[in-house]
Amino acid sequence: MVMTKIFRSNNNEDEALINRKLHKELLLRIFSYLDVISLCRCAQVSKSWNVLALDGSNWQKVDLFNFQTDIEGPVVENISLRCGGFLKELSLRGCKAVTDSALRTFAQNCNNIEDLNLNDCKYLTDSTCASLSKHCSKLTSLNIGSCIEITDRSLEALGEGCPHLEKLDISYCEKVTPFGVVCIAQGCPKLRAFIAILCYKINDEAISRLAKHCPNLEVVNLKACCLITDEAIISLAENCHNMKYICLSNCTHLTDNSLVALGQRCHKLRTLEVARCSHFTDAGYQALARNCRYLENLDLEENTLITDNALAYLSMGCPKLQKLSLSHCELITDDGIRHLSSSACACDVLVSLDLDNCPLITDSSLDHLAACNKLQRIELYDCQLITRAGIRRLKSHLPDLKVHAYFAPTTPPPSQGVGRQRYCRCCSIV
Amino acid sequence: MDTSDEDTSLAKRILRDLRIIFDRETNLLEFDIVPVEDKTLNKSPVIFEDHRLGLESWSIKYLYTYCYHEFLKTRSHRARSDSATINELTRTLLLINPELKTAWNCRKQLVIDKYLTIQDELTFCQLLMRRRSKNMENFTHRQWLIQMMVKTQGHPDTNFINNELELCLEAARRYQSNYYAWTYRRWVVQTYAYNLNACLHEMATSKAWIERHISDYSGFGYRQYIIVTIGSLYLDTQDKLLAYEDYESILVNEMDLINDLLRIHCNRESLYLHRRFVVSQLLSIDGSKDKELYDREKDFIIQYLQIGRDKLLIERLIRWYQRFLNWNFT
Repeated sequence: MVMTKIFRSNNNEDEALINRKLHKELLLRIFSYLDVISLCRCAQVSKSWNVLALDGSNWQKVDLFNFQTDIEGPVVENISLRCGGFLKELSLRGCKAVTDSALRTFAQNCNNIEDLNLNDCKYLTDSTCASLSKHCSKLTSLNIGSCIEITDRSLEALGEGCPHLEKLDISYCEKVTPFGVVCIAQGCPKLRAFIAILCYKINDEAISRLAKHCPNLEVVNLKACCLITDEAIISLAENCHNMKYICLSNCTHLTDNSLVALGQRCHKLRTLEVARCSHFTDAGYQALARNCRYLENLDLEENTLITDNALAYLSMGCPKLQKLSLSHCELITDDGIRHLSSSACACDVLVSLDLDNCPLITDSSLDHLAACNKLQRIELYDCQLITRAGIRRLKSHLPDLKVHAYFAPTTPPPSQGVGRQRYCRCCSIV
Repeated sequence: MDTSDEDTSLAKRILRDLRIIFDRETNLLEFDIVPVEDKTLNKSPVIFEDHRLGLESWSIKYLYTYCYHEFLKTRSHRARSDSATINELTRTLLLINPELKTAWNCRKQLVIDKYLTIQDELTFCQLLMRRRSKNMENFTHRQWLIQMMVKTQGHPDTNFINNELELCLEAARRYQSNYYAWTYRRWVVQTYAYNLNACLHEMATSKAWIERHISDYSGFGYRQYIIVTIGSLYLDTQDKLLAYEDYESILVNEMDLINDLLRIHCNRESLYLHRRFVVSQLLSIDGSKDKELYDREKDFIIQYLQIGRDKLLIERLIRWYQRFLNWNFT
């Protein structure tokens, strides 16, 4: 009843109760807190609400990921007409049907866009970036990952027109060459994050230029850029002291010199991912652990040369280590895990540990790890010396731990874990 | 929640192990579930040896549950999952349970989308057929694939057809009374090898087969189809009288074959059923031979009654003759 009164106009009065009680400004204010779906529903209530709900000021942040299959060019054009200069954040992630012409209209209408996500819009080409460069100079964050048609011409245009760019994601744009990266380096000195997974043509020269021109770089992801060598990393380390995240997985040419350089210069490093950099040795990690005290995340998958000593250095030098992956580090033994579990990070910080395919690990490692109170997740796939009993023992110490092993996870509830002796009822009374 | 999290992780891991093998190995010969219920080693349940893939049975529960739920999720909002995931999930589901029609249909879509090539999919079907030979879904899928292939690449060559025929034979060998395999073979012959030479060749193949699988009536059923086909092919190509003559000689040979087989094997109902077929075919060509046939059958029956062979089956045969041909042997 109440709802009817609020929304339905009474007798001959034109306005519904809610519209008489609330000013347009107040309604607009309320609408500004709603998400896209609610706004569209409100727009269907009445003509006056339609105008208010579709007012550009409500549409500053739009994420269309959940509607990706339905979004086509005209939708984007309509949104851009509706929102105009209000729109600051737009995500069209996965909207595969969007085309260049839609984004040209968009760029012309929404000059104030700051954060644009076009990930996986596969049909977009260089002409989109040209329009963005021409009209959207305030762009600070752009994601064109998996837009496979993108070439250097895009990056050239962005370098010219978007000097405020801070975050750029060009992952899987396999046509990008060093020239494009150099254009970005020269045009966008404020760059803080550069993500270029599998841009395999990028070389040392490009990264060196990037490092020199963009000293604010904090996040660099060069996963699977396989031409990269130590030279690029050394120049990154020398120029970008604020580096917090660096991913160099699958850059197989890198050697210890990279680790040494990072250790000397990038003291703020939080995350280091170097999976399958198989030339890294204990000496490199010794140098790294000496200064990088803030390291939280380390992925050392398939660093096949490292031994227990590397773990000893890391557990001494990195008291904040939360996540550590040692998958396929085949030389690691129980001794290394003992170092790790007796270190400062182990008791209070370490949350996740990957030990899959470390063939030398035995149950005694698990006994050491029982001291890691915060450990939530441990991966033990294919560690064939690990037994069910060892896992059960560990679980009785750390009941919340998720153990990932090839054992069917039907361990008994931890409350009555093995290890504690059980008495029959009559004995406990005596 | 606690265990289901670990279940999921385990299932994902096993999926990954399977994916690695499928990516690397294009020529998988066999897949099966290996009965291992008691786990003692922390080792992957995926076993791969000499182009053969095995999966330890304890892991099925986790893997199948996970895949099935993920698969249903992808069905409910289809566009959000990519082809690679659907391929992987359906592949695993079908390896474990090839009767899942939805999964087969999803794979058809992947073929239409050109994510999977028809050739690869045919190989996959064959892999599954080696594990579950009597599976209608698999044959239907194969039929659909071949029709797709013909649409795009034209008529298949004899080599391909022979492969298909050999595949049916293998399936029939692996699972007795495999009606689906014979139906499929019938479809192949009817659609792509509908000529006298092929049919005569089929007669020879089928003869060898029924001699070794005497009680498998599905094989006889197929042979009867071939015999009828030959009859109508004779009619299409030759003068009517000549055609009947040729067809009759085929049927008479068939009768000799049956008599030979009856002498070797006791109590095989399939042979008697086949006999009925041949007799009725002979009558259908030439009704005037009724008397002659009656005499011959009477001799046969009397002979068998005298030596007391296949008593029950002979009685049934007599009853059948009485009811359908009005032949009385009193």
